Amino acid sequence: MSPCLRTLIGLSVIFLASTIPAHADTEQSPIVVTASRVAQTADETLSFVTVITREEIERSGAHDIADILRFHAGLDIGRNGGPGQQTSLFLRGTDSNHTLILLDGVRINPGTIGGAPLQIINPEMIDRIEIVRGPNSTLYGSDAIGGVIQIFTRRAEKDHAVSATLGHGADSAKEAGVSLSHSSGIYSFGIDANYQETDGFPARTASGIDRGHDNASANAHIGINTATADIELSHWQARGTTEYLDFFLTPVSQDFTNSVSAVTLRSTSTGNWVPTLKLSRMEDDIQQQESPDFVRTRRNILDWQNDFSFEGNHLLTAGLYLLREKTDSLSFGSGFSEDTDVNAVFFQDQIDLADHQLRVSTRYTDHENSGSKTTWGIAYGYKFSSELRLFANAGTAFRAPDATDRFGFGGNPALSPETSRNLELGLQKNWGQQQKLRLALFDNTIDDLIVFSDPDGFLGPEPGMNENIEKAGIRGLELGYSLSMGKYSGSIDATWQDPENESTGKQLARRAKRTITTRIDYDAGRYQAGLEFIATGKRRDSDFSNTVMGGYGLLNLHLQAPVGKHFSIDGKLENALDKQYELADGFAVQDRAVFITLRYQD
Amino acid sequence: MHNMKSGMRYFLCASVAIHAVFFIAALDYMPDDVAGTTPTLYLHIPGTSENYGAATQLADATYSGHDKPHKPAYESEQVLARPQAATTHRKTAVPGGAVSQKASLRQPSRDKQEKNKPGDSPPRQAQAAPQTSTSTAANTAISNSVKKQISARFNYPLLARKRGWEGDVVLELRLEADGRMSNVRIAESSGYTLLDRAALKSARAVGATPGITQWLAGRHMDILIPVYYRLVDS
Repeated sequence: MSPCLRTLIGLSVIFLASTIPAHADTEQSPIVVTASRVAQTADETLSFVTVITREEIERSGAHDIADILRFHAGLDIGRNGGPGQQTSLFLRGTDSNHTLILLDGVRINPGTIGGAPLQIINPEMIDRIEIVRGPNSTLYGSDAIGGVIQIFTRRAEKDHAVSATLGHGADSAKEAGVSLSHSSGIYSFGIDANYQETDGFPARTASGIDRGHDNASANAHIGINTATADIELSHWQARGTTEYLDFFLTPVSQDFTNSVSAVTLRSTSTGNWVPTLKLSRMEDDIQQQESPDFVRTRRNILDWQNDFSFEGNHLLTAGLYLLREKTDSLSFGSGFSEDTDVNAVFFQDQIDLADHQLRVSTRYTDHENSGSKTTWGIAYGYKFSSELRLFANAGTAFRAPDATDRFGFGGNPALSPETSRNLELGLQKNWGQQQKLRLALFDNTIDDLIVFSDPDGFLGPEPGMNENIEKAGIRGLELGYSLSMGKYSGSIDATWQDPENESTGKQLARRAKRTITTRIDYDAGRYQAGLEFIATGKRRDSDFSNTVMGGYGLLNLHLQAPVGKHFSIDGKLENALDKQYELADGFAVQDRAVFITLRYQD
Repeated sequence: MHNMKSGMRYFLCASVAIHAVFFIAALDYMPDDVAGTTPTLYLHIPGTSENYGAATQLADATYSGHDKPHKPAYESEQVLARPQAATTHRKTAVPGGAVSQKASLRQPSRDKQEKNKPGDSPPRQAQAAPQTSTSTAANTAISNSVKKQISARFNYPLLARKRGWEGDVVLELRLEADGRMSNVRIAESSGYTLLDRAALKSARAVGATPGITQWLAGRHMDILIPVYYRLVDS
């Protein structure tokens, strides 16, 4: 079964084997209380959540996490060329800046413009990804209109662990990485370092100039578990250069530096009250090499979350969120330098009453520039049997205008947030441990969308500016099915949706109406083989043109075989059918390519 | 108000306040449910590989075959007369090394799962020579009945599941001669008071264990029950 689909089909209480003792003295057989691990970002029983595990990440052999995410229901991507090029993610048909991306709980969406830089997040650093579909502004604040994707970096898992990778592939792609970790009862630490580079291929179909990319990433963490609290210091960063082609096909390049640093304190000795304090700093820099242009975000967040666990799985959460952001930009001679303060309080209450589950939540956000916003959510779930659950939820979300909306081209400091309202029905059905089915039917309306408006035309006397004028409606059905039979497992994810700009009546750009993905894996321990396939429909390229990109099918193959006791060799054949397709009009995609990776695991 | 400096001030104030809260709350709670130095019977429970549904079988005499390598358990009165040092000894003899209440430090969860693999699990040390008057079969019957009663009430708190918290709690309790349970305490903390309290609550919810008075034969008995909280990827 695809490990990405998990359930929490209740609790099982078992007695564990204690087997033959080493001594003939007495021993005790314990009571073992087991339960399914649940997603941290949102409850899987009240929304459509997918968890992507480390095994799946390794199997994918993907260059960045966007290439992993695109194989899951409800996700479309747009990409301006090969590795490292600008990549957009559309969750549930919403805009590319309508998905909140968290890295270890820290928001990495830039404050300047656009969505989070998925193209520079190296999967080698990542342990797990949780995809939560639907609005989640109540716990997470701005940008979670389509949903939340939370990325967890790797942590120490056992006493000592050493692993290393060395890869080579098409377009002179090279990769080298090492991961070390140690953990004891009191402390744990780990460091991962990885370097990727490729000569790439021409980012645009009209050019013959290869556009390369390099990315040096590191992730480090230290955890201390005292008798009363858990303390963790963590740092992730990615730094490198991406070459690309500008509008006139001129080869240009830019340097990027991204980092997330956090200190997390969590009490473990205060009984039913578990306070967590997280102080974080996020940095996002892009510096143009051929000009002084740049964009920069510096963001400090204090996130104080208090969980109260009452009897009968009653969980109450309340907290305070203070965000201080500084954004700077220079683009073609004009720029801005702005400070933004956001303060929020949030509250959520979740109660399980036998077969009924209820969750209510609300968040009040005070945004320095675009005023205050109250969002709310309500969800109800009913368990018909241990294998069948239904849920319904309704909620609101918003996206506060970013600094470019307010102060960049067409900047309008008086903009209001974009707002959304979502209604959803879901079903979760299991057949034993072998088969799982997830269905979600949703209706999301987004209002006050910010677009550039210039009623008297570009040459008219009045300059245009950004305004809250458009509206979008997205209705759809998502399906996730997985089947597991011994060494074989398979899954199918499908999306039917109608992402419509209700102001123009057109299909929203770069989002398909129908997508189906399939994965089949054979896993015999150290021998593994798998294939992943995606078929997606036609998409409009942009809101401003009538260019339509055709549908495509993409097939990737994967093989892994052991070499001696500690080594294994991974082979990936990407785009096995050598399909020429488009994720953005006029931009190239990876043609058929082979990547080989040698892995060492102690 | 709207500058980075005031932001940092917010950070510092909140941080100080929260640390104070952590500290005070921690001081406040710990001693409460911790077992004292009451000498404790180590009840031998034969190795089982049964799931919950099959638990009742465990009392069956045919399972006493598993007991062969073990020494019989102790009769309660004699154990209660043991010197206090025995209890201290117990705390240093816990598998995984010296997990005493005062310094309850957690192993990383996956590490622990590995450690608890069948065949790996280090046994607890016996503290006194066996001076049995209660048969092994009786102890088996009692312990399984009690465990069944407790485990029927177990709950893995949602918050602990969200946080990925796993741990081992050792419960200490007394079975009165009439089958009632009393003096339920935490003998060893899991390191998470949330899990400790959940275990305690489950055990305290058990009134009397039916069908064990015949085995208790008019005596009370103190037992330790380890409870392992484990998360599984489904």
